[in-house]
Amino acid sequence: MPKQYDEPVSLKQTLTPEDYTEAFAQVAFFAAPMRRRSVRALVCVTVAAVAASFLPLCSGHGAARAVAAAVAVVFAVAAAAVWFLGPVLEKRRAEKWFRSCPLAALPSEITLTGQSAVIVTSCERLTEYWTDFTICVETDRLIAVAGGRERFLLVLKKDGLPPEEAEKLSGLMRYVFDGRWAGTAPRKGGS
Amino acid sequence: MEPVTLNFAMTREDFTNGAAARLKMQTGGTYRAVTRLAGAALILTGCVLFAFHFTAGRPVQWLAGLCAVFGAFLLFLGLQVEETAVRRMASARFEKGLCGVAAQEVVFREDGAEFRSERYEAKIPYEMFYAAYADETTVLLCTASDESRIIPKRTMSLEEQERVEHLLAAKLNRKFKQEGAREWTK
Repeated sequence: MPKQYDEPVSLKQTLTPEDYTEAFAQVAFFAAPMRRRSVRALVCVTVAAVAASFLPLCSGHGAARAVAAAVAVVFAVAAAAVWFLGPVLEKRRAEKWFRSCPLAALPSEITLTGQSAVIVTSCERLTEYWTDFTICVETDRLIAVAGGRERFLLVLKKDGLPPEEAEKLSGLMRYVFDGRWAGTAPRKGGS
Repeated sequence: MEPVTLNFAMTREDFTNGAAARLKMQTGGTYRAVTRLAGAALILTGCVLFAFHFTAGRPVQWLAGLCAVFGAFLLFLGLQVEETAVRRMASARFEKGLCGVAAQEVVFREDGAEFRSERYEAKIPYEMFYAAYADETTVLLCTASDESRIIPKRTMSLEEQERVEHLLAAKLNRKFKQEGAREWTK
């Protein structure tokens, strides 16, 4: 492991519902590309378009025309629902989870090494190993790591960290996750 | 109250029982009743469609058959199949080593529950739990809507089980559900 990651990286943070919902949304976006709202909306629009294309062919058959029209309308509405309501429902789901877990909102001290993360709060001490996680997503504000054994989503806030510490944290996570890293923060150099 | 201290290693059966308990906790009496009612309604619909077919000569016998078969499945087998599927998936996760660390210690104290394992140590006051559930094999302590700690009842004597359940009922009130207990008797 490169020498710059021999020293553990520590941070203290308190998660807010906004942090958690942003992390949740980012992980959902990158971990399941086929379930993105653009893909699902496109599938619905395609089905609607195919059903609508049958309408001229069914001019002599009332029942078939009605079925084709119904399918077109239903899937067009579904496409709109997926596009406009999808993010709202996802945010609500994340907020609901965060409200259900007061332990996640406690102030925490997190120590990160090349092998693991240790999260300590007033009630809990969790040790998570990087090999258990499936994906790491980095944005300008935070790093979200999904797939933990003890708690599924680990959120690391870059906000409030000194720039050198934030860079060190970012570098460590890119090194550890390598091919499992994804994100909207710019890559700087090699990991 | 004297604390109840349990030391155990999670077995495959404990893990699958825990998964089944979580399913029962999440799918309450209403869900089960609605599933069975839906099954009965589908069977009735199938009968009505068969009657249409035989009396009015409508070609709906296949639809009637589908309704009747699906209705019978929902009414008699649906919930058992769901539980079997959940147990199978839990067993597969256990085989892959995804059930977490096996050996752990759990202590039920007057003011909260303590957990100790290789990866997890906690002292959690009861008011911070999301919910708790007990059935004939398992006690579940939920730290979030999709997170729970499985405590097999085989690790407790009968007296300890009663003490733990009374403690959870007193501390968690309506957040504690027991399989088979009715709301007004808790």
